[in-house]
Amino acid sequence: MNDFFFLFDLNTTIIKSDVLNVIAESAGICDQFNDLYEKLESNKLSFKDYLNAKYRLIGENYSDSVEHDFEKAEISSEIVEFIRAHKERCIILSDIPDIWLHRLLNLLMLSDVTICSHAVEDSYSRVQKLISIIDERIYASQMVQPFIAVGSDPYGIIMAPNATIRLCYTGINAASTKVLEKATHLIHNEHKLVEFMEKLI
Amino acid sequence: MDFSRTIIISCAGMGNRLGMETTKALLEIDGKPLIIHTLQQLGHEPDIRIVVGYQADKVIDVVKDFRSDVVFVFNHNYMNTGTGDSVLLAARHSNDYILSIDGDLLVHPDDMRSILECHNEFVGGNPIESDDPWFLQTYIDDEIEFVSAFSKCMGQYEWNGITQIKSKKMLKGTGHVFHLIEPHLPMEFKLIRTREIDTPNDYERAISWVKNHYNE
Repeated sequence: MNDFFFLFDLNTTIIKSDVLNVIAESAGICDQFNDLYEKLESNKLSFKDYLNAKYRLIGENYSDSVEHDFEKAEISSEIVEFIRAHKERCIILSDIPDIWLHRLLNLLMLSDVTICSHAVEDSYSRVQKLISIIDERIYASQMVQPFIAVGSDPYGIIMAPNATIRLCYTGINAASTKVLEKATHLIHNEHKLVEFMEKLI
Repeated sequence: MDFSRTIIISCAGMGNRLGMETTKALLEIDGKPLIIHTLQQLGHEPDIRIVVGYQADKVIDVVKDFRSDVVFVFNHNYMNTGTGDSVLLAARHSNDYILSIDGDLLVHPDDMRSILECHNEFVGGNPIESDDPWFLQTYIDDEIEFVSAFSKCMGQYEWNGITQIKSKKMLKGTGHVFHLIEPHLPMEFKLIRTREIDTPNDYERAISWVKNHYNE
């Protein structure tokens, strides 16, 4: 028996799609999103400032409920089952603010194992003020127990250099080159991913 | 009861001797890449791991289109390590047995079926064909042939890079796959007809073999 912990990226791992990108498309702010991402990639923006600007953009341009969009998102049900079955060894990380995730996490019964950014909302459920950001890589660097990182975000847990195994799970999406350079394993199939993780328990 | 086995295909190498600037697993043979020939022969085997390194993204793309439930294991240090190191990376957290196949190998379909039906340990070999082989020294005990040693000097067969072994025996070592097996000899010998592709001539021979319906 191993004593690994499992750290999961919420976006595109627990949730199958990138909800914020879908919102950006519907709000017509993809260009601004891309512009921000380019600035992050070229180190013109810190990760914290990048997220702050991104969430502000959504608040200014999107009138629907972001929380509702997350609630409707397609879920990786087998991964969720795995986490529920091994709650004492699983942590979900997300840089998405808690005010947008509350309902989804309650629905999935995963609130108690999720650590996410913290924000104060205005009366329209928009981010009024971002209080703290969860940078998954920094969180991972503080891990004491050996852990398995599961995700595919180039700014997420999969990039944690101290993970024993960096398990890139992409679902139907292609993994970025940056992620493939760091991953120890790549799995496209959710069922296979869970089967593999069971071997690590 | 299902046999608990993980199949490991090592495709991380650069294939320098072939000089075609492509990893050997992607060489086209009779209209499809070598790795697809192997995956087709493996049928519905449930646990397949492919070790990738050089041109990893290309191998992943080709395999993913054929079958989505393969686990890819990265050997990022493929320039400085051998197939043994690749197998060790993939052997961690595997099933009870490992079937290891080099990614530059074309296997006779009948012999692949026989491999998949085999539920014990073995070392694979074929009659000597290569210019510079690693020989298998064997002996027969109670009508079963066993491999007793790998040798550069003499032997009745040529090691072809296929072995099935208990995974708990594949925990440490370095170099080639046979270096990992050596401490566990003797092991049962299994005759497996293969074509290994190391040079342009090997490649031509492999293409002819397939076109000739695997007849010698």
